Amino acid sequence: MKPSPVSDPDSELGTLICGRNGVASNQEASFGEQFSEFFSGILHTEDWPPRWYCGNWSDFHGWLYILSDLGIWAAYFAIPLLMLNVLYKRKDIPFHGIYLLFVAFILLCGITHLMDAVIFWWPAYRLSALIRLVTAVVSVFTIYALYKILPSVFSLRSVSELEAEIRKRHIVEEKLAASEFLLSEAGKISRVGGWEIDLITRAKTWSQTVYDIFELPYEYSIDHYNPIKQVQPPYRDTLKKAIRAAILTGLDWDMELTIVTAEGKTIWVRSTGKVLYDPNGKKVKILGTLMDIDRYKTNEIALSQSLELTTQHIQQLKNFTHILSHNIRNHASNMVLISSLVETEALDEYNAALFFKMKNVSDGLNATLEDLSQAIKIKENPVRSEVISFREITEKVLDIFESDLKVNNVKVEQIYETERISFPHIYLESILTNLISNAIKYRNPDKNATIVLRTYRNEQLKTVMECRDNGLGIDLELHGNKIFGLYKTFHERKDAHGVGLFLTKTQIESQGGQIQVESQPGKGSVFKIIFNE
Amino acid sequence: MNRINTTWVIDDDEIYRFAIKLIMKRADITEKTLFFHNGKTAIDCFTENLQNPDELPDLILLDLNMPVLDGWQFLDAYEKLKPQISKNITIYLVSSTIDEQDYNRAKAISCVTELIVKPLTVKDIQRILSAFNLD
Repeated sequence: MKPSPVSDPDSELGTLICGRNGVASNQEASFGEQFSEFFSGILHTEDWPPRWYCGNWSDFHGWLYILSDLGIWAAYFAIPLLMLNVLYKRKDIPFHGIYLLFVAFILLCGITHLMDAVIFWWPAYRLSALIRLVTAVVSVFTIYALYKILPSVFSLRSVSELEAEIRKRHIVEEKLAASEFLLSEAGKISRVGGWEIDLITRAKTWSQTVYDIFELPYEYSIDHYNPIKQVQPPYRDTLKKAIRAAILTGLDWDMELTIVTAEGKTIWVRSTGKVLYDPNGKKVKILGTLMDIDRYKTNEIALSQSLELTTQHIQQLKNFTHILSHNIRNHASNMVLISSLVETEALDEYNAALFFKMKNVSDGLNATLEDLSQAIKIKENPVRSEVISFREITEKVLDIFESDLKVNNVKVEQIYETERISFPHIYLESILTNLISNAIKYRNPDKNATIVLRTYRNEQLKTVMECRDNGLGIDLELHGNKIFGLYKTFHERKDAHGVGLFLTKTQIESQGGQIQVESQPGKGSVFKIIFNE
Repeated sequence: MNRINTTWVIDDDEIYRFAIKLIMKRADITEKTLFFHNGKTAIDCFTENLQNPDELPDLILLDLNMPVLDGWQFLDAYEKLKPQISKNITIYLVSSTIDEQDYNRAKAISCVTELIVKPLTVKDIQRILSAFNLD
C-alpha cells in the first residue's frame, strides 16, 4: 500500500519533499568523504523519501510502474533459472561461460527493476546505484566475452547442417557396417584374417578370423598374448627377424610358416606384414594378414614330394634307357662293322647263306635302334616352333615323292584354308612325309589314287591338317588305337615298318597337338593332325 | 690323296678296335695307327711325347664312354696340354650315344671337329680323310 506521507516539520504545506537535503554539506564534501559516506550508508534511506512522495504519483501511474517492474523482474528471474537448469542438465552445450554471464546479466537486470519497484517504499538509492554498477560491469563483460567468441559461434554448424551431416554419416556407417560384415564373412570363408599393432601404444587388434585361426574365443584378451610363441621353431626366428626388419627398415614380409593353435593343432599359415607411416613419415603401425593355407600347403607338399619322386623315377628311367640303348647300340654297331668286313666271296654257299641271314639280323637290329633313338630324341628334346607355311613345306615334301606319284599315277589336291602354323619345321616335314608315303604305299590298285591335303580351323578354332586318301583303308574296329603303336603294321607289305605313324604321333603330341584317324577298309583313310593353336 | 701320318684310336671296345684296325688297313689312309683302351693311357702317351711331335697323332678317333678316363675327361686333360703341343691335331668323337646333350657338348668344344655316331663306316673314314686334305 502507499505509505502514509511523512510529515515534514519544515513544510507547512505538508506536501512532497523531493528536494535536496543538506545541500550545502553535500556539495562541500570531498570525493573521498562522498565515497566513504556512500558505502557506509549503503542501506540508509533517510536522505530520500520513498518514491511515492518524490513527485506527484497517481495511484494508477505508481502501480503501473511498480507492477511492470515486478513483472520484468519475475521474468528476468525465471529466464536465468530455466537457463541454469538447461546448463545443469546439458553439460555439452558449447560456450558455458557465456551462458553463465547471460544468466548473471539477466538476473542483475531483473534486480535493478525489482529495486526500482522497492524504492517506492524503501528509498535505498545507494544500494540501487551499486546494483546498477554491478549490472553495468557484468553487461560490459558479457559484451566483451560475446565479441570474443563470435568467430567460433559463426563456425558452429546449424542444426540442419548437423542433421544433414548426421544423415550422411549414418549412410556411410551403414555402408561401412555392410562392407565390414561382408569382409569379415569373406575372411571367415577364405580363412584370411587381418591384424594390426600400434607401434606407439602397443595395442593389438585382430579380426575374428585371426581368433579363428588361433582357435581362440573372440572374447579372449590378446593384450598379453604373444602369437609369435605359437609359431614353430624353424619359422619363429625367421618371423622375428622379419618383424624386426619391418620395424627398423620398413620392409614388408610375406612368408609361409606353421603355428600351433590353442587346441594344439599344427597348421600352415601365410603371414604378411606391412608398416604404416603417419604423415611425418614416422612408423606408427604394423598391419598384416594371417591366412590359413593348411589345406593347400599340405596338398602342395604332397604334390611336390610325388613330383620329386616322379622326377627321380623319370631320371632313373632315362639313365636306364640311355645305358641300355648305348650298350645295345655299341654291340649292334660292332656287328654291322664286323659283318661289313667279312669277305663273303671266301665263304662256301652254306656259310654265305647263313652269313647273309646274320647280316640281315644285324641291319635290322641297327635300324630298330635308330628308330628307337629317334623316338627318344623327340620325347626328350621338343624342338622349337617357328611360323611356317603349309604350302611351302608340302611342296617340298611332294618334290621328294615326285617320281613315286608319277609312277603310281597318284593325284594330289591341296586346299589351304589356313596358310600358316607355328610348329617345328622338321616335324611338319616328317609328318607330311609319313602321311603321303603311307597314302602312296597303301593306295587301292583298283582305283585312281587321290590324296586330298586340306588345312582349316575346326569348331574349337584349332588348326587342322587333314590328309584324305581313297586307298585300302584300315579296319579300325579290329586295330583301333594300335595303329599309332610302334612296329604295328596292318598290311602285308615288306616295306611296312610300323614306325612312321608312331613317330608322327610322338612329334605332334610333343607340341601339344593330337592325331586322329577315320578309316574304312576299301574306302580310304582320313588322318587329322590337330595343332595346338 | 695324302695319307694321314699317325692316327690314335681311343676306345675301350675290343671288337670295335679290331674292326677299325681292319678298316684302316683296307682304306689305307694312315701310316701308323695306335690303339688305346682308355683316355688315361692316351694322355700318358701324350705327356711322354710332348717333345717328340712325330710321335704325336694327327688324327684322334675318341670314344666317349670309357673306364678310368672317359672321352670328356680326356678332352679336359688334352686342353691343358694343348699349349705345349706344337702339332695341329684333329679330333673326332666316335660314340654310340644318342643323348642330345652329348651332341651339344661336343659342338661347344672347339678342338672337336665332329661327333660321329657308331657304327663308323668306310665312308666316314673317307670323309675324314678328304676333310684332312682340304686343310
